[in-house]
Amino acid sequence: MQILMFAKQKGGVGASTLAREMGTLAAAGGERVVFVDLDPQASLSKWWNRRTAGAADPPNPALAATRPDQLLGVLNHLRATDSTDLVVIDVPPSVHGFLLGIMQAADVIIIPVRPTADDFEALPDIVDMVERAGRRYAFVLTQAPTGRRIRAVEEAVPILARQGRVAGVVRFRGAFPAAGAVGRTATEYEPNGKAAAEMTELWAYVGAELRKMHRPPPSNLAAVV
Amino acid sequence: MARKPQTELPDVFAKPGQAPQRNTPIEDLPKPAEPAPAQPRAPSGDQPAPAAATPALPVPAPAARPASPPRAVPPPCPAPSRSAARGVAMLAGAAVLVALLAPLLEDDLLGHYGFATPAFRAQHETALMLSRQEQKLRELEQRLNEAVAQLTATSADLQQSAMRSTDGVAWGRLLSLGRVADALRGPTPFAVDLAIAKSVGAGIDEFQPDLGKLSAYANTGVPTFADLNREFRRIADEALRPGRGILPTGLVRRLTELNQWTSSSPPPADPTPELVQSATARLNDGDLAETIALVRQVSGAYQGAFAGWLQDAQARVNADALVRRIDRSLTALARELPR
Ligand SMILES: Nc1ncnc2c1ncn2[C@@H]1O[C@H](COP(=O)(O)OP(=O)(O)OP(=O)(O)O)[C@@H](O)[C@H]1O
Ligand SMILES: [Mg+2]
Repeated sequence: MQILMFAKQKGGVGASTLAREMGTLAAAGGERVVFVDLDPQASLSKWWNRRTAGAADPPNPALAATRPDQLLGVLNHLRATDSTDLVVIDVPPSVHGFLLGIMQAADVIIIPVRPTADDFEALPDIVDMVERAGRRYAFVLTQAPTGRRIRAVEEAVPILARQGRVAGVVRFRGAFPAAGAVGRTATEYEPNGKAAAEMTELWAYVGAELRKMHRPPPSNLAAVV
Repeated sequence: MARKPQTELPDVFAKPGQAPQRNTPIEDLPKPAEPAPAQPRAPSGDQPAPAAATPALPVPAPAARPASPPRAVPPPCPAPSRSAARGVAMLAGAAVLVALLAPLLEDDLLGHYGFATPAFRAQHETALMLSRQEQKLRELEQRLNEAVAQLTATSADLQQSAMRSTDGVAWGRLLSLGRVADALRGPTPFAVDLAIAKSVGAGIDEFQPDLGKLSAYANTGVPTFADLNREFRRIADEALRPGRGILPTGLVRRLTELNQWTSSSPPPADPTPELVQSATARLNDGDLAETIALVRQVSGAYQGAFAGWLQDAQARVNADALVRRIDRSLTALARELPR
């Protein structure tokens, strides 16, 4: 079981949107995915409710309803019962020390950031925290204005790249809110759209990052030794 | 990947369409124990970082999905004796009172009683920083005032005796202005010389706008051309050395990869190395103004590295221009003096 976690210092950067897209793409690839929503506003949970209302089969992605302080226990439980391949954790905008403990259990952490001065000013605190967790992480530049040579994007990317990995650039696309409103992802809503193409590429990157961090479950390890 | 059969779901899973619409804010959780020590940093290369064991917490009874927003539950405690029970009841009463009043209490009040609310902490840190800066400024100001008082007294004596001589005033102005110009030429603080020049009416007011631009350097002096030359080479060396400082080895590769996201054309070449090369040549010619013009064009990623240098270099250009103006004024003053 692997854990993909989001981290952010500012609200509205697109974390929940990316969590949905990454989770559903993983599920479409055959992985058993579980969402965890640590945000009190629960926008991921509400979207998941819109998506799954009335479903007869257990949905994939599933959603684990857990109080934040019980999460580590729940993760251990999911691992022990081998019921999940990927846990996707959405977060509120926060650098609260509690999140550090969760980050330390994550395999890959994604930091969404918009190409604005306000977002960049808020970055050091969250990067500091993610680095303290010592886990693999990457930035995603989100809600970037569309167009080939946008100065804000051209300037933002090298700054991020100096600090760490840049998983990709996601442009501002109407497909995201439109799909969200009906409990879908942009990839499902407009499979041939630009948003879908960006998400597929992003998932290719994130999936590869997760594979780099993959470790065999303890039983296999015991067999090797 | 083949679809795996979904195993029996543990009951932490929400029923379709029925996930709770709210979760407990992290801020409301019982205060966590000290965070676990950080794992060693993931290597910057592409090898996987050493796997960290999931912090081993006891598995709680799987969280039953609460119908209403979940709330923190106090840990169970052993059955108390009767007198202890009264104490506990009183404590519980007090706790309920505090809990009920909490939303009404201002950050200030909570802060006063040692409750570190985020707003209180932020306010406190800012206040602390400001008071430290204020203290430093007060100390500096006091030292400067003492020095000025002493020197003004001395110079007033001099001035008075000079005034008694026929051309005293002109001499006084000449000397004090000359001192300001001298200080501006080297990396010498000029706050005191400036104060004297003002006190003897050396006509310094006419230079005030230019002096204002240099006020940040009054107590430290403006760096000399030699200082700037040395510093520029150090920064350029650090910034452009591959794999070090500002340009990590992976940057160009990552940018190239990333560009595939944004367009199919090759990435625009970064003009910074050429700019820095031309700037170095201009600096060798002693042309600081032209060097500055070139350095101002370096790309975003390098601007931070050169920002301090640019400020100092601009101050040097301004100081040199001011010195030239003062020198002209000195020449004019000197002409008024009898041979
Ligand atoms: N790339 C995008 N293009 C256009 N709209 C977007 C994009 N990403 C997110 N949005 C929209 O921006 C809003 C905020 O996005 P989202 O909820 O994903 O951010 P968040 O970081 O989870 O915010 P919060 O802090 O509120 O949890 C949503 O309305 C979403 O539909
Ligand atoms: Mg969100």
